[in-house]
Amino acid sequence: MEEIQKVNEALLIIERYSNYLARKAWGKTLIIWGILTPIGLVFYFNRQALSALLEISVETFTLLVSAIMILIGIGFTIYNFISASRILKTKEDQTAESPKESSMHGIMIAFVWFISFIFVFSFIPEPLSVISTVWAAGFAIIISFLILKKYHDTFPELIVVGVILLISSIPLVVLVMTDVELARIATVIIYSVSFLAGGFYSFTIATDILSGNE
Amino acid sequence: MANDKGMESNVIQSSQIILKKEVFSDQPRFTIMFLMYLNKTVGFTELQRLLKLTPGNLDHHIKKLEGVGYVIMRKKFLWRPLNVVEITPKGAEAFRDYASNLKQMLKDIK
Repeated sequence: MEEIQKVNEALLIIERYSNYLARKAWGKTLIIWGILTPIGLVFYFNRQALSALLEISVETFTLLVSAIMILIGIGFTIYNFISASRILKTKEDQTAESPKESSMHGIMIAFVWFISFIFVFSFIPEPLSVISTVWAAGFAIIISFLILKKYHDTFPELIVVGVILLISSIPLVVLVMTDVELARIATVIIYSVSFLAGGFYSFTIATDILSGNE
Repeated sequence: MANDKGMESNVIQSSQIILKKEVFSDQPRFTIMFLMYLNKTVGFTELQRLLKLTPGNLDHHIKKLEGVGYVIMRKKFLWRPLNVVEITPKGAEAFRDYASNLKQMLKDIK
């Protein structure tokens, strides 16, 4: 009996550790996107000058920068979750959800992101194009939160990112009418701040889980 | 001669079982080994917070495990130096044996 109790106590600690690793992976992912997104936007806003400097067309430059940023971001995200999944895997084995269902939810989230960006790029008029990505990302993040909450777990760090993006887009609308350049800089800062805030919030949750204070 | 060798190996086996039992009988040491069996490397501070132990207390358990060659403590340099505890192949094997004995014991209870 003593042995069984020992195993049970160890399993509870292992579960806490796997939750901690998952939160840390989320935190690192949000922080890396919080660094990459504004860097990508800086390149995008200065695409005319930079493409001329490199003596390539604007389209090629935009495509190249987007591809590099997306590859770095996705590569880091995959690496992050794979590193954390050594223990998570054993936990996932115990859950009822099949890999098929899990990938369905992944596809749902990707679809929401795709539709949001297609919508803003197609229907939002030119003067507001600077801040339209903020609306798209904010909306897509909140829908992703709802999907994950319904089928997996609650990730409040996503709400932090989504709410910061959507709320700060209100003053951006006013700013874009008066000073487009300033609005561009503000967009970069808002992206960075929202993702970094979400990432650090995730680290706070991870620390609480580790100490058993959650 | 062959009988002597057989006895000798039985004695070695029994003493190893006693040693494993002694090492793993303690709750924190068992949990440390279980965690590292699954994750290979765990940070010292992470272990300390998870197990709610003082640094000195955790160090005592790690030293015990290090003494029998089940784990090693080393420094890892990320953006700051970190003390990490890593399971050795000997430790992984010992834990695997212990866990399968435990599994068998639970089966027998059924």
